[in-house]
Amino acid sequence: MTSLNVLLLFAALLFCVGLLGILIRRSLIVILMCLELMLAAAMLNLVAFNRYHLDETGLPATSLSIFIFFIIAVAAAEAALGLAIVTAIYKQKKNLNLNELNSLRDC
Amino acid sequence: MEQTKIIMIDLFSFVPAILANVMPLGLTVIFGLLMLVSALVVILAKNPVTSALGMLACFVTLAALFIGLDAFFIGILQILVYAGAVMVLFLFIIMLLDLKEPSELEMSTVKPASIILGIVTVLLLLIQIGVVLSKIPTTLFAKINHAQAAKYFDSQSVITAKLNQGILPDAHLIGQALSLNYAFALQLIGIILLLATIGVIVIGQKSSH
Repeated sequence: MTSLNVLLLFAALLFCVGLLGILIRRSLIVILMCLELMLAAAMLNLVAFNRYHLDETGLPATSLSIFIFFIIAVAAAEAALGLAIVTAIYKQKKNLNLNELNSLRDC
Repeated sequence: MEQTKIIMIDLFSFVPAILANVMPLGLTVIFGLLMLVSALVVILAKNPVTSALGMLACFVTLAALFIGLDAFFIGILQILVYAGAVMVLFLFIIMLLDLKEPSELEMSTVKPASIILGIVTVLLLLIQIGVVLSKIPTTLFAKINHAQAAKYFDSQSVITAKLNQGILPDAHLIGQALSLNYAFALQLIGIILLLATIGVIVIGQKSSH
């Protein structure tokens, strides 16, 4: 039977993969994708805790499901805004490489 | 009356019995490994379209894990919102920008120092989490007692009827809690989505000068 630790370990590994992607990739779009991966890892943690901690009725706690529902909504808004910013940057600079987007560096 | 009952097929009654109560370790490990492999595809692929498709696979396997953990509604929401909407948005933007320059696509501009530091940071985090997980005791799931839980709800409600059939009506439970306890938060999230829409339009429109 699956124990809670296995799920937490998978969530931690997924989070680390996302973090590694943010640290080593220089493409803005891929970095946004890695942000989504890290959010998804947090959601996997919440769903696992939700199932393993039953509330007083003996069912999985509903408030945690609602927490995840809100995370999904915020993540969708974040992805839409992030991609709008990416297109705006591309329109201005014709480039999405983070190494070359350094106009704020020496202000 | 009998006929309407037959027509209204319950989606969740088709979830195989093997998934209905937290799935066996083998399935969790298979889906978890698939999830990690597709996440690695996201960060290692040179072509952003490959990255986006890897992310799609990652979210679908994640939804399988959610459904295995009895979170049917969240699993379906994950597929609808992430694999459906967000992924199409990413693919659409990648196609629209038409990135062809190698410096925009390839990892050749990444400094080796950033790769080494990135791997070291992630390894440190992973060792910490591994140590913590090896110290805490193994928690096994408690079986859901549907008939026991049914006593807490109104005897006329759909929730009670489903619980008595041995089905977990999590969409109904979430809907009830959203409209009773979290109505204000639901409206706030509506405002956040509206603000995001307005923000995207403002950022995306042509500047007047």
